Amino acid sequence: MSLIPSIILIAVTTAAACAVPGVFLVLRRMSMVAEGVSHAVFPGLVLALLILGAFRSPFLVIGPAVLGLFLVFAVQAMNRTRLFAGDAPLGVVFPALFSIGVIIVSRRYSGLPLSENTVLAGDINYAALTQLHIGGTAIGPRAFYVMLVILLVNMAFTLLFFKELKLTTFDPDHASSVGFGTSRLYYLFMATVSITIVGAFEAVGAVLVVGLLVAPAASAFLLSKRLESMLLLSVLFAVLSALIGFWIAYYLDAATSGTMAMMTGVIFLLTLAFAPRRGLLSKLRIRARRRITFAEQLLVMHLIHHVDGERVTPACSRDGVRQHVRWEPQFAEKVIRQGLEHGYIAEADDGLIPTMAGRMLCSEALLYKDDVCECGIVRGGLEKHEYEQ
Amino acid sequence: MNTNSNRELAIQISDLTVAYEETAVLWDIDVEVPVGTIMGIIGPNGSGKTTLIKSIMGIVEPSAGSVRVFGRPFREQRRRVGYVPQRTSVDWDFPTTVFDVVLMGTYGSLGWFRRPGAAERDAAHMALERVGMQDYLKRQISELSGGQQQRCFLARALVQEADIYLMDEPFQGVDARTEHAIVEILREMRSRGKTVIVVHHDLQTVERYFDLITMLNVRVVAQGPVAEVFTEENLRRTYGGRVELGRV
Repeated sequence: MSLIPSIILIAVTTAAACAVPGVFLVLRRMSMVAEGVSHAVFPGLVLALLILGAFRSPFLVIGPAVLGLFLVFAVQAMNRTRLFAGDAPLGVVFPALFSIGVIIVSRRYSGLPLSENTVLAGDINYAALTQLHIGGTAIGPRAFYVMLVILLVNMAFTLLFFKELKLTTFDPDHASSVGFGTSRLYYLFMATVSITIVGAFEAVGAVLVVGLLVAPAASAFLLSKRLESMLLLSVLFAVLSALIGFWIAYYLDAATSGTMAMMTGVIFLLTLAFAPRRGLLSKLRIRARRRITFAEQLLVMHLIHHVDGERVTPACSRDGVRQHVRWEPQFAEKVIRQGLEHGYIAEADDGLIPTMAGRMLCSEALLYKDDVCECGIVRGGLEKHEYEQ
Repeated sequence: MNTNSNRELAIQISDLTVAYEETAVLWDIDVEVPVGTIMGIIGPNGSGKTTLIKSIMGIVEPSAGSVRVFGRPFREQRRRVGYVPQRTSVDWDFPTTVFDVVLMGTYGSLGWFRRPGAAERDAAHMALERVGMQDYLKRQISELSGGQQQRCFLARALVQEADIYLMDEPFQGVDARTEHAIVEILREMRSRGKTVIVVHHDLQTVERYFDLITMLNVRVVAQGPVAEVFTEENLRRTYGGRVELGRV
């Protein structure tokens, strides 16, 4: 198979395989544990390479994955001592393991097909060169088949344990109270994470793999109402990042792993900004709307107070409103305009008057606080309403 | 409120001690809960209320002592116990719907690998109706108010059709309507012979809500029918003299 389709196949399967367990890493707030595992597997990979010679044997995946699990165990054990707060154990263990790998690789005569660069960012082009042969014909890059198997394993694992993963992730105490031992499933899950990271190592390296695990899932989180859709979106974003990333790399003649990981970040930023409910823009819009609604309530309240009382004309004129409520003239104009548009207030000869709808709006605001007030306004409103007609 | 002592015991805790490292969180606890009663557990922060509930279910391993559920170890009686954790113990931004959370209550009886079917979905619908949340079933849980979250949790426990319910601060931060609905459900449970244990915070409502009370501060300070045990003296011993009942 030629180079470009090989690279695309590797990129897409690697991204998709990472996106599946990434969902649970994000929901369990374990993104940094993934970072730890991605570094901890490195010495295992190096040792396996020293012993086995090349990227060929399945032990190359399983050996290092065991080290990844060791990291998870070690960090849990250190957390149990309660001597450290937060993630200090993680910060101690993973660089220590990683450093062993660095020392071995950096020796001049190690004879390993790895440099410190590929360790961090991988080399997808190099991975694409190693083709798998059946009966003399090349059937595609070996890394693609490795990642395909890992993707299928991850999907099977998630489908098989979907209910259990959901329960133990959402509410571990409840899960163990109804008999789902959380730790067995946890270590099984971390085993799949370790294997995924080791598999992706060759193509994207120890640092960028974290981006593939976390960013598509985090983007999906902002858009999803259900776990099922979060999983699907996560995979979709990962595949998109891989394709667009490859295209950018091709045009810039840059490293595909880098542009892929960058695209996961770009997609995350876009969802962070534009997600319908959880996005920043929609949060701002909601806040602005609330501010206007509150101002309208305040305005109607002011009008009710004066319409039913004295000094109607000065207080209910536009100028009077501006003086009383102490708004910037522009904002006051906007609130009055909106209030008229929504039908909360109406224009009369001697200024502005509250409408029935306006009185309802105010009573909603007061409903929870003061029953007496609510009754007063609604009753007053009825009278006023009749008067208007 | 019949609480005579020769009734069958739903829960029997004997000599229970729970410690983290060498620090005791619960010390030599003896608690007996007869079938068909509502028991409140009160005590200051850090007095071990949540730990006590968790150790009944084996979520926390005891250093000494034993817990019996209907005369047998919890492991054999799992199905008969429903648990309502503190509302704040989970992440309500989790991508799931109200209906899904309630359906989780059926997972225990389904066991590993089996998926919920029509019977489980029916049970979830019924539980949602009992807590007055049937209109919210498709709502994402992040869009619920505190009271709605609590009713959602309660529905999840109701689906389990348990005989004993353990509730951790179900009234914490809920609106008056929810509090009323929960109390109604507790009483209905009692009338059907269920046993309910509630970790509670609000001393003003103790006398109205509970038959029995356990006053806890690492040790059991006092335990028994509310009318006998819930006294100023015992409150002072539980809370260390910092409490005023403010009873009229």
